[in-house]
Amino acid sequence: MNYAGESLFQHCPSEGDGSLREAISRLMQKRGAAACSGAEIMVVSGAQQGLDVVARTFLQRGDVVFVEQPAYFSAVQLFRLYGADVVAIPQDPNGGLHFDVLETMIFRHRPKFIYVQPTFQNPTGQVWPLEQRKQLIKLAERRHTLIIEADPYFELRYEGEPIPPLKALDRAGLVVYVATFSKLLYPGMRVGWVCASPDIIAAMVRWKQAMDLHSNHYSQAITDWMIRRGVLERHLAFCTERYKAKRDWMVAAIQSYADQELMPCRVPQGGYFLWVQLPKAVSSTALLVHALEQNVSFVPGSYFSVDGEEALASYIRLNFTWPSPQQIERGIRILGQTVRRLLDSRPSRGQAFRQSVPLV
Amino acid sequence: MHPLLANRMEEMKASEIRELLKLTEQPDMISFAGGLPDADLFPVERIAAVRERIMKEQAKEALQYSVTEGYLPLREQIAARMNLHQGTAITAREVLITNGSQQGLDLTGKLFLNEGDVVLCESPTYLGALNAFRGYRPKFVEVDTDEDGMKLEHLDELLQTHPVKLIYVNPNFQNPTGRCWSKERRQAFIDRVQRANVIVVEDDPYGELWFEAGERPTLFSMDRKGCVIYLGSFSKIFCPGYRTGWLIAGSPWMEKYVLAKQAVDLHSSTIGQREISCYLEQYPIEEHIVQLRTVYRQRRDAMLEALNVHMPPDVRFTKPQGGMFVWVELPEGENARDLLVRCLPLKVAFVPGGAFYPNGGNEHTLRLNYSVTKETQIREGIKRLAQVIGNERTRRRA
Repeated sequence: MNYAGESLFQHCPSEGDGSLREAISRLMQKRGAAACSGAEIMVVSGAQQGLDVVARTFLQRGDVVFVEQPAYFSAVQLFRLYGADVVAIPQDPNGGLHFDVLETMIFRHRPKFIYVQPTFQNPTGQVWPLEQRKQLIKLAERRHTLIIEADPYFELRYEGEPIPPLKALDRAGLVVYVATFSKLLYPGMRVGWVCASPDIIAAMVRWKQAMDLHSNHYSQAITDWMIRRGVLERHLAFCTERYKAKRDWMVAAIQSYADQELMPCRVPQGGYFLWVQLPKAVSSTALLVHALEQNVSFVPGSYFSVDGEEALASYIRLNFTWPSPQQIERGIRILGQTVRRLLDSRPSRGQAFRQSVPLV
Repeated sequence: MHPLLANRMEEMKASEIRELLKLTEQPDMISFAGGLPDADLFPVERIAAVRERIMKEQAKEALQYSVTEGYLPLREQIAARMNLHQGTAITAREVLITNGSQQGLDLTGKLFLNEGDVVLCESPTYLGALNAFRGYRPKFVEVDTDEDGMKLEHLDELLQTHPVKLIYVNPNFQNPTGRCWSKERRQAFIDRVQRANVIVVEDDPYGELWFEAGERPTLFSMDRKGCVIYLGSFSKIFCPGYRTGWLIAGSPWMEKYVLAKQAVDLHSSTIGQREISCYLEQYPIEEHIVQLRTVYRQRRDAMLEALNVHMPPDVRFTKPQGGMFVWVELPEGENARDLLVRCLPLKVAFVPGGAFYPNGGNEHTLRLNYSVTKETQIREGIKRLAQVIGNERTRRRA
């Protein structure tokens, strides 16, 4: 490292280490946001802190926040902690937002901001096409609505051409972009960033200073070094290759142990997750209980529901980046078997047969 | 939601917990989840004899339509029992037969609740009441509770700051906590609500299932202003399958209740009412209730003992003097839903407590039922539950 060692253990500006902010701005340029200078970057301790600063800066009790549904639960939980009324926006069945409905809803609810994750969404893995991104930006400009764009997986693309983030299309300064090195390098270092127009950054820095003065300087310097020395790039090449293989193993396992009809899922072009649909008669939470008996775990779809949307109960989120190929194979085999068993053990075959036991 | 559905259906959604609790129907499950009476204790032979007699002596009447208010002899028997046990002086005129007290709750919502009306309830409270009222879209405001019932300071504050329409309470061996209001608290409560011009719904399905004799006057018996609607039920002291309960109200409410009930289902099952009436006439139901008290007391003892032995010291639980439930509070931050998911593979079930709070939260609480489980199973189940709590803690630390 070409740093004077001891300065790493000194304080740094609340906005973050200057060199790292420059490095991040170049990373933003690579992502397509050519106009983002270091002045528009604030370093935070992971994307979750980024969202927290956003919430502190913008939310008052009673404000309405729009989110996609299914949505990343930690974000929803956070907005609610600040007293926001979180409203789910309807999804287009072909991916992305339902724009006609969205415009009416903005008019009616006057949301403080719209929280979205257009690239490899957690949990669905979906990517919005460029057209939709442009459309949302236009809508936001027309209605003067703030957009919070979370983008933790951008470089983890296993095929297809990268699509620029909303931030890259944002000329009016309406997009607050929240990203992290947690998925690209290491979650334990807690280094992420927020990219927004200078006036928004200035407001956020005041909060950041009040919260913890600045993020860990040493972690920032190491991250900076990793980017400048090309370690990040090499690591990403290694990860994407490996994660792609794991994704393919998992998809293949689903095809051989469960088949597309029993557990259909779209193959995501990147990210961490497969979003798998179960037969209607199988509840994901019930499946989880049976799976845990056999040491297999996943997150049931209902956890990603914002307003109790029932349809999500028949989805499950499977992570493919963490388990080994053997574990993937074994896990999917067990899930496939268990889903079949649950289907067969229904009281009446063929048609779904529901009985509601009252809870007294 | 489907665009054709009425807005009120937004309030009625299938819960994830129900999906999980379906798994408790497996035969080897030790389930503390239900709130059922023990079916082994149903007086089956006596009921069979009664049924035979009804079919022999009054088949035509028993199978015909009948009046909305209910079968008169049964209403008289209920009034007489109430007067005997509670020192009231009601007549059959004030008794409406309902399909369990759940229907009493629904009819009450129909009579009194406009959208946005404020309903006070204990925190936590009976989930079925929340579900019954929810369809009328009120605003639930929770009143803090302690061992003796609703906290009066909080009640006073809420009565002053909110336009309260209705207060729902379950003073005897509450579902879900098993707590019982003290006599003093009941008196103070009645004094306050009588000044406040509100409706009080006193739900009392467990009042007769006490383990130690004591003074537990019902709010209804203390009420001089006619503001208390009392709900009773044969479900816990006899058999829930009859779906037979009763609602006690004076004028002018009773006339409205009858109109509402008529619109909903004309009347409750004629044959069911006649069978219960015939049973009450022929057999002393007190005999049956004494047996229930004895068995449930033993099970409560077994559960409390097992909780004392196995639970970590920071897990708190109530010591009910009657009814069917023990309420458990884990340290805040622990999550009973997650715990349930981990318990089910080990064949133990309970109800996570969050569902008993109308405005959510309190995920660190849970309800345990002891009325349907034999003592050995209770001990084993609590042991497993404690084990899972321990494992979860280790897992979270890791």
